[in-house]
Amino acid sequence: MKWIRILGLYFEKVFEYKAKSLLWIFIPMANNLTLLLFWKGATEQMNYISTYYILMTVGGLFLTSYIEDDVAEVDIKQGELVNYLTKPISYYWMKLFIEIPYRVMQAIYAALIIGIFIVFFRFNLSLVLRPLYIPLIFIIFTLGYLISFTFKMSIAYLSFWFKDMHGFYELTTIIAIIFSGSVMPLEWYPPIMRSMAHILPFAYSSYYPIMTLIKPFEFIDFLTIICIQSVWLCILLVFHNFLWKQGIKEFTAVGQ
Amino acid sequence: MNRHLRIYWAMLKINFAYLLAYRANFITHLISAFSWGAFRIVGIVLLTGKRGVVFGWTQKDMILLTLGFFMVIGIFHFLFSSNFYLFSRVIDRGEFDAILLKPIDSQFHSTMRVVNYANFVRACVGLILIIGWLVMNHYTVTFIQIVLFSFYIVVGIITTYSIWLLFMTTLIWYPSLNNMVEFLFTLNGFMKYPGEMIRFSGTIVLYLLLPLVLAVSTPVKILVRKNSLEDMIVLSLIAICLFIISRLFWKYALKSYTSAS
Repeated sequence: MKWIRILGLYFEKVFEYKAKSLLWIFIPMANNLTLLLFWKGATEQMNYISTYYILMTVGGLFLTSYIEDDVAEVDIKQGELVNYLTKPISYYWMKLFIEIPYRVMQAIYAALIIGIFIVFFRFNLSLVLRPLYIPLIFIIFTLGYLISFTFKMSIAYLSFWFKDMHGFYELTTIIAIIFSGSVMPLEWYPPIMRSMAHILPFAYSSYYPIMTLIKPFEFIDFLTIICIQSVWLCILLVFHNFLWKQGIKEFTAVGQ
Repeated sequence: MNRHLRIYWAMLKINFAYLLAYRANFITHLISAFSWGAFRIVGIVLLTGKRGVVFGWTQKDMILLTLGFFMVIGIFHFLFSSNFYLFSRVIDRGEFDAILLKPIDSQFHSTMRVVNYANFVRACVGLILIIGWLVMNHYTVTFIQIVLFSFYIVVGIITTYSIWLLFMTTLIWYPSLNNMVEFLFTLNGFMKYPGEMIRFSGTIVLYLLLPLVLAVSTPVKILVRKNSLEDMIVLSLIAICLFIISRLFWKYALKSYTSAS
């Protein structure tokens, strides 16, 4: 009940700045529109590629966490973390429940806007959605988001030790963009980069969840993805807990 | 004009002193600038790897276009973007009063008082990479092409500045939209693609993005000897119009500024 109330409160907050929220949606939309226009020139399997980038836009808004700046700059550097430490609630879960409403609402907004475009331009999405696998897809999407969230929380904790992590965050964002298939579908990457992408966690946070809606995966494929996602989530949670326990010792209530 | 140049020189010196005081900040900005630059190049190599020629541009030309973008955006971020980044905070916290009270042009002071030297390094590296790429790939470039290229780089930057100013001026009415600058960073991404991309789309709405797309592709087209006279004329007209409109819009918006956060 406590968590539902927290979730409800933050859902209300999402509506506080509607225009700002809308602008956040236009950012990935503009990015993917550029790529879509580019592929139109390359005349490369347009139906597949359009579906891919449209789902990447909507899915990306839902699956990619942007919590690191808030945690590093506001909570750790400005000392706002003290507000959470005095409450009998886990900081990790609190931040998760703060962010979920933003992700859900932005994904819904984006889906509505793109939906209007699809109807307007009479565009067909080539989706493969079998009702039997919907629970598995839901699990894959949830794990995908948790991987992204835990990773971002972990790197944000580095602010306990370092004053300016701006460059590092940019670097991790770029690595995540490349290896999560945001540039183009991973199967079109050169073999070395494709292999690296399959090893790193980024593809399991957004690429594979999106692919479950496009590719005709079998039951075993779904299980494989869930297993790898679970392994990555466990690794990241261990890493996260270690950084939190060490980092909190460095925290002084007045900030860094 | 002389007075403004003297003031600008003083601002450059103040910013340099700031750089020396916060060296770590400079290094992180440098890492960030070069990471994004490297990403753009990797991205375009990946995108053009599957198809050799896109919109009549070969992979070599597209890489040159990306390097052109690397340099132009470096100059733009060096001179202007930090100011735009601060602008929403300035408006939201009522700090804009202090700017308006100063006996210098408010647009000049709001958009040019902070420079980011890390991006100056980026612009220089971009120029070196362009020269290196031209030499490596045996492009023949004449003196006239170099002059026209330099001129249209300036025209492209004026266009980009005017577009940013138009968008950022709306913050005078909506100061809470502090992510506007992030949106403009994203829109800048269009600059690393050829103008033909918009024309090929056949969608009238997308023609609104043409000024941004032409800002880098026009000077680069001059270097690769593609037929660019039409783009040169269009970009020149767009730059003049947008600069005047953004200036008038700024003046109009100032009348609506209500101060006190």
